[in-house]
Amino acid sequence: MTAVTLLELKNLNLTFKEKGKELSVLEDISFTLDEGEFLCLVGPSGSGKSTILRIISGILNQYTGEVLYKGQPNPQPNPNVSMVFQSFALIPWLTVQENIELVLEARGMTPRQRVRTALKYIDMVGLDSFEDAYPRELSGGMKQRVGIARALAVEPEILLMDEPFSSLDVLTAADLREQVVNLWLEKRLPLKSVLMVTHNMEEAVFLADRILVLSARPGHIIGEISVDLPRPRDSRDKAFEEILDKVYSMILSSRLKS
Amino acid sequence: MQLISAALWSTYRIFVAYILSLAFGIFYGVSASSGPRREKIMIAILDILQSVPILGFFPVAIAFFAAIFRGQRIGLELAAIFLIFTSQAWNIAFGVYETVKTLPRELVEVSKAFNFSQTFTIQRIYLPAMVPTIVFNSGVSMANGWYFLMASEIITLGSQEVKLPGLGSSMMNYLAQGNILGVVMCIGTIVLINALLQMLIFRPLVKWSELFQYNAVGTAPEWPAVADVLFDFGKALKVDTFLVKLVSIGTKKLSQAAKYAFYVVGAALVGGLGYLIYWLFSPPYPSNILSQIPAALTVTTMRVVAAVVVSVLLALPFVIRSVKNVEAAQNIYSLASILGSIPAVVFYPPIVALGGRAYMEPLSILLLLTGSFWYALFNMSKGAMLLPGVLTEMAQVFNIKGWLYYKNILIPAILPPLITGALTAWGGAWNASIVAEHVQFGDKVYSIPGIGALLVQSTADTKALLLIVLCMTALIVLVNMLFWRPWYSKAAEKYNITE
Amino acid sequence: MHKMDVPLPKARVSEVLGLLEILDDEGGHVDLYRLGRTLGHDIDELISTIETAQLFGLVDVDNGDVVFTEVGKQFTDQDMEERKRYISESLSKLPYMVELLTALAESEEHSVDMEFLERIIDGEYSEREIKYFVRNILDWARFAELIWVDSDEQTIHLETEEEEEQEENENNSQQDYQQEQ
Ligand SMILES: Nc1ncnc2c1ncn2[C@@H]1O[C@H](COP(=O)(O)OP(=O)(O)O)[C@@H](O)[C@H]1O
Ligand SMILES: [Mg+2]
Repeated sequence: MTAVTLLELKNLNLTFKEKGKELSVLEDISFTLDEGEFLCLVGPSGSGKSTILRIISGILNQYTGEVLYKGQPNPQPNPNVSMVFQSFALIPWLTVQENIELVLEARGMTPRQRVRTALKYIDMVGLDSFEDAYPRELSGGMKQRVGIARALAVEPEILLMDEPFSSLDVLTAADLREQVVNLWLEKRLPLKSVLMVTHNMEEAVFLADRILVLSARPGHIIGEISVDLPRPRDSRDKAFEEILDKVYSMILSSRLKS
Repeated sequence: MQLISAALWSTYRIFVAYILSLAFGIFYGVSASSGPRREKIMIAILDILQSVPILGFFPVAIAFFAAIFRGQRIGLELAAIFLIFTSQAWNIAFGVYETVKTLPRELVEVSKAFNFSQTFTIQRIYLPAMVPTIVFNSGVSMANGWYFLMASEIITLGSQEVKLPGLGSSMMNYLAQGNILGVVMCIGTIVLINALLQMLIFRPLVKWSELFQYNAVGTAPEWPAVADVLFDFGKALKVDTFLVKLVSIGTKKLSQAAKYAFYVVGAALVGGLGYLIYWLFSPPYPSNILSQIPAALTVTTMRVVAAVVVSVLLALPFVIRSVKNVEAAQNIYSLASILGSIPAVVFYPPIVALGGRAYMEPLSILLLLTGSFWYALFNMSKGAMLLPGVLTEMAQVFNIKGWLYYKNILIPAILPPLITGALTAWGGAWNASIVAEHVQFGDKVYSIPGIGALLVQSTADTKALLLIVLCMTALIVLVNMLFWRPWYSKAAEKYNITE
Repeated sequence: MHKMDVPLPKARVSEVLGLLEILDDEGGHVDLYRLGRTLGHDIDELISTIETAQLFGLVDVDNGDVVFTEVGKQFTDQDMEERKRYISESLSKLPYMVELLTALAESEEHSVDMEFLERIIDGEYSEREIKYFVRNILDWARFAELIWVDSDEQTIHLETEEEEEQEENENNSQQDYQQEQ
């Protein structure tokens, strides 16, 4: 089976201007995201991980290089791409259900369809009976469930996740990671691929089929590592530790003179 | 019966001015925050507008409107509404500007990532996010509008005095007749109207608007009936589509044609201003007045400073009560809105007449207080409400009390809003100073030296009048720039309690 | 020019001392990923701490392991006084510290504005990165008792040589350090 390429980034470069200074943020970033793949980008903070996701989702568009979706220039914004935010980005004056319905309404769905779809995804992330709660009344873990439900509700092919667990405490994060793995494995969704950003390396090995390692700013790709482990994975597994060690070595060898 | 019709007239003026202020404030605030270049210009202009003592240039504005409409009633009506508008619009514009400037980046990104159209984004993200600041500033604006109502209903055109029907002019008539009961009834009506507005509209809305605060925690407030009514009403009148239009025009880049128009209008304004200044500073000089300006400014500045200090000190106990006590803060806000709307300007003359020239000095400071205290109270209690609980808890744990507590914890923690309160009190006191120093009651004139007295005495001489207003405004703007703003940014950095 | 060329401290004193403690407990060398696990697999903290320890010649990375250098082992066994002396010596050799100390020595009141340091290290860094480097440099230089900082005035001052004062300051910073631990 040959993998179909869903998304391709070619020679992405980006500089920001700050107080008259040019800051190079991305340097020659090229990679592909295949159908059926869970890809993780790891790199230190400030390496441009969020910036890459912003480019793909169409939030940001002053870069050089190419972004191809199924071989064509990536439409801006691409309706087949959806995003989970690090800080949840829920709208405080809308309830859980309204938050999800909002993005469906923006896509022109009828009210009845909206309600049905919203409830379906609220149910899927295990938030039934919370649909009328406001974000301020939810814990961090529950907020991110809403964030995930909202992202899935528009039924994207590609799901972008920007450090989705890094604002959560350790146990909540572990729990939510498991749920994301389950959702991914069930294959009930139209979802084809996931591109996740993190600076937690264990998380990357736990979730990804393939890991791309990014250098510190200006971010460029140092290398990639395939994770050929059956799911669900166990972080105390010998093979797991070996891969983790490989990721560590790759990151550090590029940075540290030994 | 007469009272009711007067009340209706006044209320109509205030509401028309308020609605115009709201539309203007949203448009101006949004435009100012949607581009670095226009931001600089528009905020500087707003700063100056806010510093111009409204009562000072009112005679000029009346002359202008009267000239356009050849002395017809409609011109005077517009002049009155314009005066009230100038007392209501600036703070709304500032509030909207700050909200849009500090709109969380994530909310903007959600709208982009999920492909919201511009209209949809404005309707669902921008406008709701403005709700808290609009509700808060509406209370302030209402109180302000009533305070200046007085002056707007009695218009002096040359030698002739025209009175527009309304509570302000009625009060003046009663005063002239020595009818104390009538005056009290008028004031009672103003208090009643404002109490009703507070109880039925603003109080529930203030509570509700907390829902739209970005980082709020705890249980969400309920939707009050009045919010539903307003929404339905707004929908029926298509207010939402109007607001979306307003905002989207405000955020647009200027088209080439608009740019030219803008430059032409700008050039005309600068030219006009230049001519005005040339005219102001070309002979014949009203030299007798010019030479009095420095001394007069100094005396009034001293009174204003006294009023600001007293305002802040007086507001402190209230502010302390509202620390971590939302209920108390809301009560203070409502009370301030109601009492702040009483036009103290009206019964100032008889009181001065009663006390005589000897007591005029302290009485004038008291009048300045009625123009400044509420601002201090509004802004300071708003800051105190947001004080994080850990600080007060820490003080309890370590038994930090009394002076030590105020000096090291409370005052530093509320310093930024305290400065904002003092800054706005400073503006309010200047405004009131125009009517504080020169009073006519019956056929007697009472006067103490000061820039306000100088101004009132020279209303007949447009040149002198403009010069005085110009000097006052320049002084206020300078002090804002050189004193208040630097102090504020330093305090905001050092005592940043959200960190 | 790449940012690696000028070695700037990316971690604070307490972080590096913590790393040395762990290394000591583990007998002088530790697996990278085990160290990573101790730090919650946070890539930022791991890299910055190891890199800073390397900057002072205290550790090396060898084949997926972090190991003590000769100096690092010695340093860990020394008392605080001697540690400070060592850091003071190696810090004083770094180019930006040379520049800072010269400026301090030449200025009349032996003090410079905080912005002076920001300007020295200004390179291809963002505002945030500069702020962060300045914070760390000051942390190390205070630990080494080369300078003291007036936070209200936002100025950096040369640590004076007077016996009494120095002793007092030493005690203070020792206490600070112990509290951090
Ligand atoms: N709008 C912007 N203007 C200027 N610099 C920016 C902007 N957005 C991000 N940066 C800078 O770009 C770099 C990469 O940012 P980001 O993509 O958020 O990194 P990461 O997500 O990997 O932590 C950082 O140094 C950041 O300061
Ligand atoms: Mg990021």
